[in-house]
Parts: sequence; C-alpha cells; structure tokens
Amino acid sequence: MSPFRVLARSALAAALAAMPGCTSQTTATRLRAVGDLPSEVAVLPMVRTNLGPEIADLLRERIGGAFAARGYRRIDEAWIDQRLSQAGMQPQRSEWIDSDMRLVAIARSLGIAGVVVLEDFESDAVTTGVYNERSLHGRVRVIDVRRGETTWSYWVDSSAMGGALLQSGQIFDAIGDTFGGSLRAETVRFASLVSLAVAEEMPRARDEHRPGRRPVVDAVEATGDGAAAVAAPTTIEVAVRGTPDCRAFASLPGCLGRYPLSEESPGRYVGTLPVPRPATRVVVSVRDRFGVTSRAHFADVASGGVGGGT
Amino acid sequence: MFAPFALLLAAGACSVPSIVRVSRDDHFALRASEPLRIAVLPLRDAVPAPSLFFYLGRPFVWAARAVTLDFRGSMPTTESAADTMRSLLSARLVGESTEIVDHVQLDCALRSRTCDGTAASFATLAQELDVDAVIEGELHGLGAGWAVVRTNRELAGVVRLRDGMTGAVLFSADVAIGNGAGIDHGPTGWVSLVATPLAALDSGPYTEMAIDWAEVVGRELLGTSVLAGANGEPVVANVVVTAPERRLGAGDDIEVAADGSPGASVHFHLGSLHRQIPMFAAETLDDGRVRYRGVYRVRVGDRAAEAPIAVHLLWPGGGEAAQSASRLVDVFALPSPPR
Repeated sequence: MSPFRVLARSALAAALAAMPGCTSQTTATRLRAVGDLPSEVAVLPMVRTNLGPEIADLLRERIGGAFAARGYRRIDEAWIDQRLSQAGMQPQRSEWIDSDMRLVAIARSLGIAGVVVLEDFESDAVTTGVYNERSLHGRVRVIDVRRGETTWSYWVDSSAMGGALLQSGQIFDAIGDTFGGSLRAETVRFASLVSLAVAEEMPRARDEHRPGRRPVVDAVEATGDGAAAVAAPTTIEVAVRGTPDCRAFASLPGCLGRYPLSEESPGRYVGTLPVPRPATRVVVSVRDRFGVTSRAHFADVASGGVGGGT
Repeated sequence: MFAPFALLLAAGACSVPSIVRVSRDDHFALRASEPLRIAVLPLRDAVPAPSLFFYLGRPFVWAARAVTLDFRGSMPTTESAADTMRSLLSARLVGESTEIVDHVQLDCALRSRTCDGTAASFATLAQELDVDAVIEGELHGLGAGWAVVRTNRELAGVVRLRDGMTGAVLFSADVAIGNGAGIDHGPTGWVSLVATPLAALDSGPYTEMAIDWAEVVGRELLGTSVLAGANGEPVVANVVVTAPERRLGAGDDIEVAADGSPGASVHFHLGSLHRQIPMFAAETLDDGRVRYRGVYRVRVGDRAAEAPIAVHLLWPGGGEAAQSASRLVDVFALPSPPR
C-alpha cells in the first residue's frame, strides 16, 4: 500500500476518532448476478494473489464450503487440480488462466457445469501505532460453462480496524492490536468471514441433488518385487479396477499416508507403492470427482511379494 | 503509582482463555489410507434459558451501547450460532483423510429419521446414511456474564465423533472460546469503566469466536493447522529432488529428500498432479534433525508441466512447515492414442 494511501486512511481514521470501539466488517458487493447458478461447481485455484499457498488453499476450501452449504455440489479441489495438470495447465502459477474461453473449453471437456474463479485476492496490513487496519479482499465469480459467461460475481472484503485512535474505551486492546496479534491468524479468520458472507449472498441451489453413491473398488492386484525383506525399501506394484474418473490410492494398512495411483485407462489405476517395512497386505480406496470415497478395500500381496511379516 | 497500571497492563495482556477438553480412543487415528466418510449432524441447543435479570437489564445494556457507540451486531440466537458452528466445522474438516457429507443432502435424509441419542441409534443412523462415522454434539454455552467492571463472553460446544458400526465415541472435544471486555482491557475513563462491560453483554465478536471454535476442534481432530508452527517450529529445509534431467516418462522415479524436525509426518506434492505422497524417516542427522525420503514412480496417465515439488512437514498436535525444491519437473506420460 502506498504511503499516500496510508496517510489518507490515517486522516480518515482521525476524523472518526470520536467513534470509539474497534471496527470490523465483512462485505460482499454485487458486481453481476444473472440467472441461476449451475448446480455443480468447481472452485479453481486462485488467480493473481499475494496470499501464501497455504492461506490461498484454505480460502479456496472455505469458499467451496460456502457453495456446499447453499446446496451446490462441489467438485473436489484435488480432483480438479489433477485434471488441470493433465490438461497441460499450471495451476500453481499466479496467472495460470489466460482466458475464460480456454477455461470454458477445458471445463466442457471435463463435464463441469460451473467454475468458480477466485481472483485478485490480497491481504493488506497497515500499522501506524495509533491506527491499524488489516484486510482481505478479492473477487469471486462464477462462470456458467453452458452459457460460456460470468453469471455471478461479487467483490468481497473483510477488514478489522483498531488502534488507540479508534479504541478509546479499551486502551489495552488497542495496544495489543498494535504490537501483538498475528496477521496470519487474522487472515485465516478473514477467510472464514468472507466465505460466510459469500454464502449469505448466494441463492440456494435450484436442484436438490441426491446423495452421491460411493465409488467402488472391484478388484486389486498387488505384486511384490520379490526382494527379501531387508532394511532398504522395496516396492509393491498395485493395479486396481474400479469406478472410472476417480483418484485412487494405495497404502499399507495402518499407515497415515497413502500413495496416489494413476488412471492409465478408464477404471484401471496403477502405481508403485514403496514399502519401508515388510508387508503382506495393501489397502486401496478411490475418490470420485465430488470427493465421495469408497470403502477401504484390503488385498493380499501376491506370493513372492515383500517380506514375511505383517 | 504505576503499580496499578502495570497490574492492569499485565491482566490486559491475558485474554480470556479458551478451554479445551479432548478425549480420544486409544486406537483411533484419522488416516488418509483409510479415509472416513463423516456426517456432521446439527448441533443440539443445550444453552440454559436466560434468567429474569437478563430481561430486566436490557434497558441498561442498550443505554450502555448507545453511550459507548457500540453498534456491532447483537448476540446471535442459539439456533443460528449452532448452524454457523456446524458449517464452519464441516468446512474445517474437509481433507484427504475425510469426506464430509453435504449438509443439504444430509438434512434431507435426516427429515425422515430419528435418533434417540444412544450409541446404537447413532450406529443405525450411520448405516442408513452410508457413512463411516457421525459427528454429533451440542452448543452448551452462548452468552456473557457481567461482573460489574468486567464482562466475560463465552461460546462453548462439545462434539463427539462416533464410530459408524458401533456408535462408540472415538473422539470428543469440548471447547469453550472466551472473550472479554472491561477493566482489565484498560478503560480510558469513568464512563467507559461502567458502560463498556454493560454494552458487552449484548454485543461481541461471536462469529469470530465460532471461527476460533471450529479451528480448535479441527486442529484437535485432524492434528493439523495452518496457524500452529508460526513461531519457528517445526522446520523443513534442504529439499533435494533426484530425477533424470529431462522430461520424465512412465517408469522414471522422482526421489525427494528433505531435512526436518524429528517425529513428524512428512509428504510432498508433485505440482497439482498428485498430493501428499508420503515420505519416511531415512536417517538422523548430527544436529538432531531427520532426513526424510520419498519416491514417486511416474505412470501412464501422468502429466505435469514445470511442476514444483513442495514438501510438507506436519507436527503432531498442529504445527506445519512447507518448503519447495528449487527444481521444477516436467512429466509427460499420457497414454498413446488408439490406432
């Protein structure tokens, strides 16, 4: 923020000095709202933002939660990220979308009815000693893929102002605001406030969708590499047949994490599972585009596999 | 002369503490390898009804709000607070080790079902909803208590994660978020000394308190938080990627190594193609840190252009650190088009 802008804001705050109390507000300003929103939406990675990756992901999740809370079917963020990567996009970049037209074409090819674009999100902080302001603001817009245009767009802004100039009733709070607090914590709070404001402005989904059926795992082949169970990790080749168009994972039972498998042909997922300890079983699951997850499916590692213990 | 001031300053530095009581079944852990499909049920209203004094004191509270120009929103109803807490908690719990059933679907399904609050009834409900677990609980504290020169606001709720097969409680968290106004926050005059605590009876940052409540419950259940770890712990550094110096195809291995705090759960993201690929502790370094290693073998179906490799280290209890490798990788292993 420029020094002139800081001065101007401080002057404005001085004019409001007679009004005690910390000011905090979250607003959603309508830019465009035409027709109904698509009942299924994918919230895309952010475009043009100064937020760190963790905060950007968190805000994206929260905005997705706002759509889900209003009855829209939300496409799993990890699924859409994977599909964008496979389409040659680089969603980790700040300017990864070069045009709405290209985005619409990709969304059509993936069978997505609506995309939510989060753009120009910025977090600002001004601390002058007597006047402080922290804010998070940006634009949320929905592109109706069938119509090929933006049909719903809001500018959202969440801010908190404080400091001795405004908080004349509670001076320690004002001092604490100036010298303490965490911008990161405040930004996380803003992310939730913004998502609540978005949910409040959003019309309820027109179509009430039925609970999604769980994807299924039909068959699993797990084959060890034949190496003896020694300290060095060995591998298990895993092939899964199940519901197509999902993400699939394999792991050793009891492990916290899981390895991603790749869909080499529709409904067939394969991958190489490193094994840091002897194992005779694997656990597999698949997750569809809406994040609906199959039941965990356990399978034995084929003979000649890894190790001899469990 | 300065002693009272110093005392107040010290007291003011201490905000009203949050109270967190957590219990967890010894065998329970959320695992991405066996993700749980969870239904978050509406929170029940267990807030005691306000006393007669609450209504008798209204005019004084309104007068105090006018005097202090406190025009913030009034206290929410218990129904709206419980609804907000449920929405925020559901959004907080979304992750790779969980699947949160959509509220709208769930509320439709709940219209035709009843639950008497016993473990067996929760198990029956879970099976009818086709979920692995349900989260139920109640809002048991919402309001403010006046102590003449100070007012303590509170938002408190308990949630229980119940096993979908047996209905047994696997995890519970009773979290109370506090917030105060009054003498220990430093009144600047006689008027604010009296009026600020009174005004605080009817106003306050309850939405922010609900956000903090959901954050605490989420941190305790998932074990992760972007807020923890801001003070320098845990750490992850020296991310090294070993892979052929060309565009990677099917069968190529991408090995990732990173040094970090011991006892952590570590994984890496391969661009946005694959998330959370596990890493394991390989060796302990002289300085006490641990070298973690992970490997991903490229398979047909993979594609990523100039993908960054980002290593994430999760500290038990909530800390998180991330570091990206300087090298970007290109992966191109799409299936051949049919002839």
